[in-house]
Amino acid sequence: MATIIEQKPLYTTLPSGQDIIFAVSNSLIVTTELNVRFVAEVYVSSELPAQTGNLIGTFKATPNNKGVGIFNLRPVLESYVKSDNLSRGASSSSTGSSYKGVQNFDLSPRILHVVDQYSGASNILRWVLVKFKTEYLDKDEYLANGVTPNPNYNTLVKVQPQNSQWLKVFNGYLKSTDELTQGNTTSNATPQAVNFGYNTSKFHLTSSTKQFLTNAPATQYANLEDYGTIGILMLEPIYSGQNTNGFYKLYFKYYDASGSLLNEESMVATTGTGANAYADRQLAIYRVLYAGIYPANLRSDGSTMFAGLIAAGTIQGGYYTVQARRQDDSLISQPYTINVNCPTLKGYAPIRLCWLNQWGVWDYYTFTMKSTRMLSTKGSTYQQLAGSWNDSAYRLDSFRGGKKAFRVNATEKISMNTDFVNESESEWFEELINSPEVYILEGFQDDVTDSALNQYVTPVRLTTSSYTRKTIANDKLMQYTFEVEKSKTLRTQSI
Amino acid sequence: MSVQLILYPQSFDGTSNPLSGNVYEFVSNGLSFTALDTATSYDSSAANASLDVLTNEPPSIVNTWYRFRSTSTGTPSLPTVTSGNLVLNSTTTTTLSGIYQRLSNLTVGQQYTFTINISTPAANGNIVVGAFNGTSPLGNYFFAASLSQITHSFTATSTDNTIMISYFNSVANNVTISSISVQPSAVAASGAIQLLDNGQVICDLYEDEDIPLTLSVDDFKNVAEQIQSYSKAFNLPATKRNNLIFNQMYEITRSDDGIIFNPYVKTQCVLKQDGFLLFEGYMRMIDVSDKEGEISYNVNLYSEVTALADVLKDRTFSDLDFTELTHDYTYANIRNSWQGILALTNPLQAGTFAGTVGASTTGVLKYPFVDWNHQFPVSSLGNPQLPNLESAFRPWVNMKYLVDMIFDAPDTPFTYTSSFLDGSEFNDLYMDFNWGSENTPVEIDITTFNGFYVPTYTTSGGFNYATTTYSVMELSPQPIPYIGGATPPNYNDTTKIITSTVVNEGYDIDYTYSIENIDTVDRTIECQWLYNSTPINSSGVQTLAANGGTYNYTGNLNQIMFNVGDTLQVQFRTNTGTASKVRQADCSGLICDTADVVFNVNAEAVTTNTILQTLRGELGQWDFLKGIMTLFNLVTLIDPDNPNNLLIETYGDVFITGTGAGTTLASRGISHDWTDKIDISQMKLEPLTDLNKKTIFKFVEDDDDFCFRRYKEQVGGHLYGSKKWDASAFTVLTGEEEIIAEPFAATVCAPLMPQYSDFLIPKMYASSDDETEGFENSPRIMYTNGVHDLTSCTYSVPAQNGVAGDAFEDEYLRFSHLSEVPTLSNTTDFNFGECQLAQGLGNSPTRNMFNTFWLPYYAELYNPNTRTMTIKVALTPGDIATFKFNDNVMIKNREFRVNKIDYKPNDLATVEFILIG
Repeated sequence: MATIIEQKPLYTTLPSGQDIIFAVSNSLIVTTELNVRFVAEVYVSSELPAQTGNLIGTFKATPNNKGVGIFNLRPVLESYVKSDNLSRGASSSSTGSSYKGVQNFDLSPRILHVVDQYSGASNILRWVLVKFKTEYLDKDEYLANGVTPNPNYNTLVKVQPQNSQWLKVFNGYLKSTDELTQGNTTSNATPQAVNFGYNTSKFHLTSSTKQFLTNAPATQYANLEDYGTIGILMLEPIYSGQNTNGFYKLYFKYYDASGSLLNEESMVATTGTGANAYADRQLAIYRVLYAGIYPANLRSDGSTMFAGLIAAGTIQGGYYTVQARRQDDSLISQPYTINVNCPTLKGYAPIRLCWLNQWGVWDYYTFTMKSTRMLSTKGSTYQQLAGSWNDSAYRLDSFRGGKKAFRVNATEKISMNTDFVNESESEWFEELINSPEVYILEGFQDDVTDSALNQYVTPVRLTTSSYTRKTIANDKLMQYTFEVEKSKTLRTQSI
Repeated sequence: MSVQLILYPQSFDGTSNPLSGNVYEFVSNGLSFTALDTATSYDSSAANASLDVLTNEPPSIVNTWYRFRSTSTGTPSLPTVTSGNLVLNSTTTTTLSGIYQRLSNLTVGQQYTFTINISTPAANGNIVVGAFNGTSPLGNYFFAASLSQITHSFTATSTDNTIMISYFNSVANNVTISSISVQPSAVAASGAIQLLDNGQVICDLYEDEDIPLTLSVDDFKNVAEQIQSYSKAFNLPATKRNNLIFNQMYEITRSDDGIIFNPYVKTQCVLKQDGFLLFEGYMRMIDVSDKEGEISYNVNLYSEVTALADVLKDRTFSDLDFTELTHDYTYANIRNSWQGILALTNPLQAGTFAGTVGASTTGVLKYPFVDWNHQFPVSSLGNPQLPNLESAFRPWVNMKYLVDMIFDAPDTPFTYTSSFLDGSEFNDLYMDFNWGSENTPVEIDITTFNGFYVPTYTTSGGFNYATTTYSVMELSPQPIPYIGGATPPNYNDTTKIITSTVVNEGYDIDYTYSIENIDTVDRTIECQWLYNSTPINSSGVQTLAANGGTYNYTGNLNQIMFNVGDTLQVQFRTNTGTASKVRQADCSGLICDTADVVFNVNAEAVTTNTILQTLRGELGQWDFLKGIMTLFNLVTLIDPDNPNNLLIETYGDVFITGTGAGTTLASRGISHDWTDKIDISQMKLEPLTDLNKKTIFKFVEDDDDFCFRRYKEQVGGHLYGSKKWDASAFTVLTGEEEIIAEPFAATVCAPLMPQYSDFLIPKMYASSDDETEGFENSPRIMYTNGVHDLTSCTYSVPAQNGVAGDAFEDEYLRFSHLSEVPTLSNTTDFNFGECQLAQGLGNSPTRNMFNTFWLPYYAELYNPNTRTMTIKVALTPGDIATFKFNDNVMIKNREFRVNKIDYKPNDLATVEFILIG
């Protein structure tokens, strides 16, 4: 009797932050053999089919009171997916993404947020396969013929493997309010009834209501200098002759301040624009696609249309929409509107934060109101010996002696304010508070030749530790203040 | 910059890549294929040639090419080398030929990439690239031989997987390969972890994790212990990276599949700050804690010497292989050992420390004259007599050789450099390998002799007839013309009796004696073997038919001759009747044998097992090294140029001497001036008031050692070889401490007997009720004083093990605890302190272990001007990286030694200086 997978994740695409439960049984062996354990060999791969060399661990569970072994692979698998901070570079086998029209390479990848058009995702998603076996202590001295000595006598043997489906695990998590679904609950006898999971179909780009990988409000605000990307979960491969329903392009419509359409253009996802070809469908790196859709990305992505609108001064104060389409122009995502802020007249320096959102990709928000920066230093001092002792004669050396700084480390804290926000934005900010990765993202600027682009992203830690969700009913006008601290201290000279 | 904790793979043994200049290359001789033409080859007729090859001609030597070819359906030429390129051959039938090599130092779990460059491709056929774990394939992959380059990856499952490159074709069309390379793949399997060279990984640390280190090599104030560098326990966060490094150790369902992080295996690590190396040693996983979902790995760091102790503490001498020292235990060879030319059974092999490779003699094992049981009768001439060789001659092995063997063991990841251990005095020290109280080497060499009886070739010249009383059956004097044969050395051709000359000589005898009856009536015959005149086997009464009836007395006999002089013989008798009618059989005038006896005789020899299976095999390797360190006050330091190399020198050489002369600090060997770095706001000076008033330096007390005990009784309790350091003048001090050079015991040297004044030897035997005997003594260290010509007597040595003795031997190899006997003004005494020596040894030297190695230290330690100064110092990572603990430091107007540094990155270090009086 084979090892039976009694319970498994309901969906094959799932965030790593949800409980990834498998329950397996083997009633024949459990009832007849000694020292029975269920074994789960977990394979993680960036490519399908995975090579056997990608075995990342073997796990064992003891049969419970019902003779079933239950595994939760979440604590293991969440280590194998992580955020993408760099765009994909070109390698010998594929074309990479680009920045300001210059291709990125594997050896010198650039930060993701400033990418032109598209980029694959190196880290966010992995293929996972679990091979379940049943292990027991073989106490049979002889084989079935009763004569031949059993070579496995008194050893642990693993038998009857049963493979799970291939899962696509990505770097997301679930909130307690995210509704889970179960399998067929109409019949108690249906095995799938106990399977559960989070349905990611809202990210499956098939109709005009579907979403990119974000909970952000569909209406965003950005300055002309603001960079940013959206993440697209590619539940099916990109458009090709073999897959005509696949995602084909992002479609941009530009409007002026009065709402009049200025122009429109497509950003087609091809190998040349940093997306993938159909042949790459088995690569995990193209199962999530990043697209630079914010004004600064559009200014430098090779298309002259948006730059032309800026030059003409028509887009300022206006807005544009972006929406995913198939090759036949049918709409497969909801439209996202990005309002282009007018240059502030109050002189506030805008601060753009980006943070890892619930689904493992990046959300952005530009704080356009008052912000303050506070520099604090921390250091040690020591009392130095006065005078010169290691010379031909003692010299007074007035600069010597007294309390000296051993080191000076400066830390910068920044307090920033939002403009008035609506309730959906208020709810969205909770992800900022909860995010493990937050950065300050600098805006569009001219770079020096061969710039390392290190100036664009500054890691910060949100020091605002409590957050009160405001509502119009309670608070009328809603405004928030956040405080961040730059993660890296400024190292000065050591004495 | 920041603090980085870098871990090496657990399979990493400290060697980056010994094979080539390219630190990433794992194939040896993959560019020019030097001497591959003459490499070992194997012809396989099996269907699965590759498996057959690895089974029957395994690549026993790592990093060496082997060749093979299939012969089942045709035989291609073996792989050859032309102009530095490898040529794989084929014929017109389906054949396989190739080469294989067992790699070394692979990292288990790491992915490696083959790269094969083909300079002359073949239009058809395949190159088969495979990797194996022993004979288990990790995968074989076929590539067209028409390619110019082949790349293929495999994941190492052991540190010494074997690679095989073979050529499969059914057409005669050779392929030429210009290079073969195996290097670590650039990307790890999961793609989630950043690898440095050799599979190193950088751990994530908690924010502002400044790991506090205590750096030290030898606590000046703690005489008995050497405190090494270590860190306090600290936590590593369970980030995704750390989880991958430690393979989700927190997960209780995690199961060991052979490639995961194993907390029971040492993990080499380095700690760097701002690129400077702060600490190099090992990381220990203490525990994993999960507190409200926040998982932390609790670890600490510890240093090399601690790790050396960890490596060796469970190993004994029985883990060392002394097979190369196997030799015959005979008096001739014992004398050879006196001259340093002990004849070995086999020539010395590569990698030996026992002499020159290929030599058949060695000087690392000697047989000095030692009074092991004090049982020497005196002859009528008044000279001592040796009852057997074992009573005086048992093996002593060179100390330096033993140290080298310990460090050279395959699993010891350290080497050492030591001018002291390489010095001439240490090289003349030997440790006894006594086999305990019994005079019996355990292992024996078996020599086979085959004796025959030919009636026409006997001592008497006639037939050997049975009588009604038992008489011996005989074998002819050997060798017999046209037949040959040999009887054992102890078989007497006259008496036909075997008489043992050594204890526990064993005989395994396959015998056939043919007896015939030439009487006209039936007769009976009865045969028997006797040991010391006692029957141990009998044929019973057998009837021999009249007129030529025969009986074969045949069988197997095993007998140990327990004592010297024990006898073994075979006899026969017949019933009453006409005399001279029953006899050992004739051959009707032909030259043939009618008795055929095979003697398998166990002649003793000292072999590896003899040495190890008895007493010294139980001695711990670390105990042995620790004893040497204590005796000579040695300090271990990490070689700054090679973290796996230990520098072992005396305390004095490391800390006290070495400063030169000159007006500058550098010329006087003071390499650091920290005057401007000290924080004078707080300083603590402490006298060393916790010292002990008395210290006793001594060896282990062997209570069974009669001479040692007697000496102690006669001199009021003073232990032979010991030294008492009395600091009673420091009235504030209290307490007493013992420094014991464990496991070594002191050995009393004295004349063998009072009347032989120049027969000075080590004496170690037990005595009770006027009976003396050998005992299982603690290890002893003795110095070789060379061969001494006796003037007071001679002594007799018996013949033993087939080799003659000497009735008037007048010289012997002298060992003692002194470098000269009698002593001179500069004689070294390998005891701790002065003591009354036996007559003939001379005056007790002042150049003993305490005065030479401990006094310089104690003179500083018990000096009223010596104090410790604890002060904070603004040390940078660069200061730590360049500082060595034997460096002296100038502060203001005094020179200090550094005892301990408590260093925390990004903070002032707390340094404990020793102000030497």
